[in-house]
Amino acid sequence: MSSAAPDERRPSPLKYLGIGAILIPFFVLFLFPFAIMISTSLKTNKEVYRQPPTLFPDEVMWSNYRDIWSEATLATFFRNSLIIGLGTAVLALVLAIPAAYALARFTFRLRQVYLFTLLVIQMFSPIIIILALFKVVSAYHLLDSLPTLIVINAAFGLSYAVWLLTGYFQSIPAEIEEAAMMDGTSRVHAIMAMTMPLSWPGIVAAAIFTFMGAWNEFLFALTFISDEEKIPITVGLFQFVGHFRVEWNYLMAASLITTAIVLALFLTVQKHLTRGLLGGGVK
Amino acid sequence: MAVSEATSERSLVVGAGAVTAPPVVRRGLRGAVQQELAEHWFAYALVLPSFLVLVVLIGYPVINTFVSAFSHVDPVGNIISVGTFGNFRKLADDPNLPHVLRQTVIYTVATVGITTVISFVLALVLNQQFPGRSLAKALLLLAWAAPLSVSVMLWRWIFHGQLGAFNYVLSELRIIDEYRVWLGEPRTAMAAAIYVEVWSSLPFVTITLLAGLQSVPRDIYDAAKMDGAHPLREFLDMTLPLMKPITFIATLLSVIYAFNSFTVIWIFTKGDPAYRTDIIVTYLYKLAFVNLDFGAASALAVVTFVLLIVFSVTYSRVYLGRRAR
Repeated sequence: MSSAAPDERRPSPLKYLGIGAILIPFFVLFLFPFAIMISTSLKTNKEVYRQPPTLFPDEVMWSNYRDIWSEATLATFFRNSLIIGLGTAVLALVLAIPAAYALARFTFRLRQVYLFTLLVIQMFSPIIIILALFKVVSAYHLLDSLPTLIVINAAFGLSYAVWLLTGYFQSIPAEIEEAAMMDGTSRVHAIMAMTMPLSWPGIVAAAIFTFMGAWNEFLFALTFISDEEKIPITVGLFQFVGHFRVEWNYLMAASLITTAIVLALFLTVQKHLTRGLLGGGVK
Repeated sequence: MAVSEATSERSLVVGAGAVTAPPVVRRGLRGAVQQELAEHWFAYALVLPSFLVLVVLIGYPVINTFVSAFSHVDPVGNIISVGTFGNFRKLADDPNLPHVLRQTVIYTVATVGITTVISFVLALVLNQQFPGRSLAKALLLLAWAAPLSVSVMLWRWIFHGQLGAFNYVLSELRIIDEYRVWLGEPRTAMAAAIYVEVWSSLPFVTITLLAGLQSVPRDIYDAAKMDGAHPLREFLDMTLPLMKPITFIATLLSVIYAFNSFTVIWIFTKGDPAYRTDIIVTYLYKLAFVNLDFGAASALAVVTFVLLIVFSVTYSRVYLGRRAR
């Protein structure tokens, strides 16, 4: 077993070889679609339709990324996604912050009922809910409206935001609010002045996660929006594919932007999340 | 922690006392409710808005769908009269439903099986120390954060019948003689959809299993090493049993996820040709929004829900129950 001991400290080259033999082929396959996305997005339309296909475009068309914006509808799709994402994040937080605070600080009778409700909601597939929701939304003439989509997305993002924030508020000791209240400030004021500033990494993380959820959302937008002016980018790209002759290079350029935005946000949250978890409360 | 809870509770009572009358002993349910509200009015006020949103936007639709399933429903979805099994009878006579169910089972089992095996291997590898480990984890997570519908469209381009990279790579490798329209035939379209579903589920399952591996205490392995345990024995006797609970949760969540997965199939084929690539959720969606049969769609939604519950209970019995007592 003497050979096993250095295995822990300084792995043998054989072990690295084994790891490489598994991970390298895996990641080639796993990331292959992204390589195709980048490659196609930089081709001329002619090269897209040429056989055999190339991985590295003969002529690199950075201008594709500029040209897609002249396609007026695409700019509209992005604007709609942005409105939906921001609206959802704001609404979800306005609802989730008070609820999470109450769950973290007070032991009221219906606390368990509320927590249980949050859990049960996760079990219902959106498709079950969409049937009845569609009836309500169309009966009140709320189809083709961005606010409708914002409210629905916020309701679906709510459970996660509340869970995340409850944990965060619990990590901040109640004593700091009480100390402020001793000095004669009101409870609400103490919360705003002490707890909220300390919780901002958690709040930002919850905001970004709900934004991402709404930005990536497809089914609700597909069902509740048909007006070309109101379509978000996920559904917009899908309609793009359905229409006439598809310009795959433009489609891929737009896909890349859509993906890059959400990835950039995700990387930010990851950092905040680890910082929040490692920092833990008041430091 | 306990101290802070107690003090915060007390201070709240003091705060409430300033607004309402001093607490009196009240009797009966109404009294209890009044007292609870008097003591905790602040907490209830904070929770109420979000609770109302959940009840109206999620609670009500779920109940409405369940009631619709047992009702006569008009084409717009309005309930005409409650109390019939007509919708379920219609489902029983639906010639498409048997093969849609079979397709759903194949889709779910294949996706979850393949995902779990690959994820387990990946998690074991990522649990080792090696340079580039955090890069590997980041790359996995990036694909997870990307919008699914956009990724699926990307895959649709890759599987394109004339221009797709998939055809090109396979013919270069001499696996196929001529280009095929992968998404045009039921069998290959299903296989392609399963492949993409696996691709999209891998990151979450791998990270979950990795978290499980990392929570296994190190000293157990050290003890085994001292006893001279063979690495394979160590894996079979210790890692696998310790990973059982987290594997259970990961597979259960994957089954629910794959079962409810709408996006891949919808963007690839919309269930065509002739419902041969439909799974329950896409078929249900078409029942409601193409055939405008909200009654049958609601009934199918109820069936789906019951199936998932029955599966979850049975699975946890079989998987966790045997060795429990």
